[in-house]
Amino acid sequence: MFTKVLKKLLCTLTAIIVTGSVMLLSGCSTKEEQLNVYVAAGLKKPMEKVITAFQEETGVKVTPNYGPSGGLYTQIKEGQPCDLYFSADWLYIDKIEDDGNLIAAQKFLQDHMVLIVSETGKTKVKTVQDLNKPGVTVGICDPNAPVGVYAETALKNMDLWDQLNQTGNLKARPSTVNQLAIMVQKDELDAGLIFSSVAKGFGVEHVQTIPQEYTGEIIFGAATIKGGNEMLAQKFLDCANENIDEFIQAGWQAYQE
Amino acid sequence: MKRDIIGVIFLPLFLLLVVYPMVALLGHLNFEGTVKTLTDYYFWDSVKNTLIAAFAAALLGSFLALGFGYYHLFAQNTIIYRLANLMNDLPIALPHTVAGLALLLAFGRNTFGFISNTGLAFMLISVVLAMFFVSYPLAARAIASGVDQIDSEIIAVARTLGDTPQKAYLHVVVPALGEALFSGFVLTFARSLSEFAAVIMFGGNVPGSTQVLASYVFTKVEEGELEMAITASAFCIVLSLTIVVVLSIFNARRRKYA
Repeated sequence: MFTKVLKKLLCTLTAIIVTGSVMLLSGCSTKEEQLNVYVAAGLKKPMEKVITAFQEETGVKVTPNYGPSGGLYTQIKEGQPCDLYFSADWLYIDKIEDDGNLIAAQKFLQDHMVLIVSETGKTKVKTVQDLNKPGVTVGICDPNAPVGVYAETALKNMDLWDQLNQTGNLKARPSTVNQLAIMVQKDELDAGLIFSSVAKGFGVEHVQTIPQEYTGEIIFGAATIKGGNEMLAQKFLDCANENIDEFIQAGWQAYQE
Repeated sequence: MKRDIIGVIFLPLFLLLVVYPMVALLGHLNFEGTVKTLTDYYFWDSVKNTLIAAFAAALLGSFLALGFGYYHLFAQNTIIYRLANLMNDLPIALPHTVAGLALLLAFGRNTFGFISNTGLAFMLISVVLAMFFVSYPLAARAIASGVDQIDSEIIAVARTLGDTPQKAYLHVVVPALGEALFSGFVLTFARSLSEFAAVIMFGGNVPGSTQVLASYVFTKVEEGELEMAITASAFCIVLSLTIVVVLSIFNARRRKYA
């Protein structure tokens, strides 16, 4: 008796699963053109405008995937479908090339690192040297985010990094640049090092721009990925270049040799 | 026949979806990554921080859950109980970065500035509070279901013998909650081991002082140091398993001699 009921139930369940997956699969394979674009999370706002413009112009469906550049790189390496990749760090473009997944790359945008200060921090911190003064609380992003690597490099080049660790002034190593911006914006920390574009986006005050000789060139790159729709990806990249003003308004600079 | 159908469906799915991913992870262990990780000073610091903080969070969680058990038993119609019950779902449903932000705004230096120049944030105790915040509901639920299993007649007898609800709860119910308390503790502890989003936002994630194992792994994955990440994850699995097994043996002994 019970077995029968159970069997019936199972049959129905299987039927549901099978029809469901067939429908799902057929849904995916409709011939509508679409583009998978992986975008470093910091670029989200201006990129959304580019996507809207591109979709209106071409009728192609763009599926954006926003995330930390490193995480997106890992997804591409593991074979997730991707046509075009915007990275906050040129390092990952190099890695994609080493993996043999690169068709072409373009230096897309340029950014600078700035020293941001909070309401309270304003009175204590005027330059990066002040980060090591007693009682100052500092946030530097974790090296999992490109901004963390740039900040660490800059502080090392200025001979401030070891001291910052010894004084115990370094209180937080958040995993994204936005988290650090929030911490300073909400006055939970005195100061931090982030991209000028992000500082502008969050409306936090900056007191110093770190010269490029210390951070190295901060380049946001774009790469077309093997196995993707190369033509369409290039078309999208052209569209992004045409709309470069959106990015400039948000605090970046167009890349110039 | 009935048993076979269940076995035929359950076993393959269980092996494929639960066991296989763990084995796949362990299968990617390699010598170089293991050496690199086990000789990394920050790795051991993160292990130490994780163990201390998760243990403290589980203790705190179980302690508070006992209070919740009282309301669950005697005061289900009060506003306090309803609110507490609602809050049991919230921290689990809330994205954990948001949970970390909530803690930072609540206990940061703008409100708790008299404690230090970062308030209650960015210290080892912040790590404990973050772990507690996201895992306490598990302990509360474990205690609630433990309370439900206690024979209501025993409580009724205690009450007719003149015990106030508080007395009855502390003297009759709590001593009988050993099992529930134990599973609540283990659940909170295990959940705390894997927490990192809230911990990064509120705890600080500074290697050596406030970084935990889960965020160490996260950082290594994002940095592309996959070999190190895999070693650290494998260590995490072994660690959780060991702790659960040790605690289970301990619990079984306790029951035997109780």
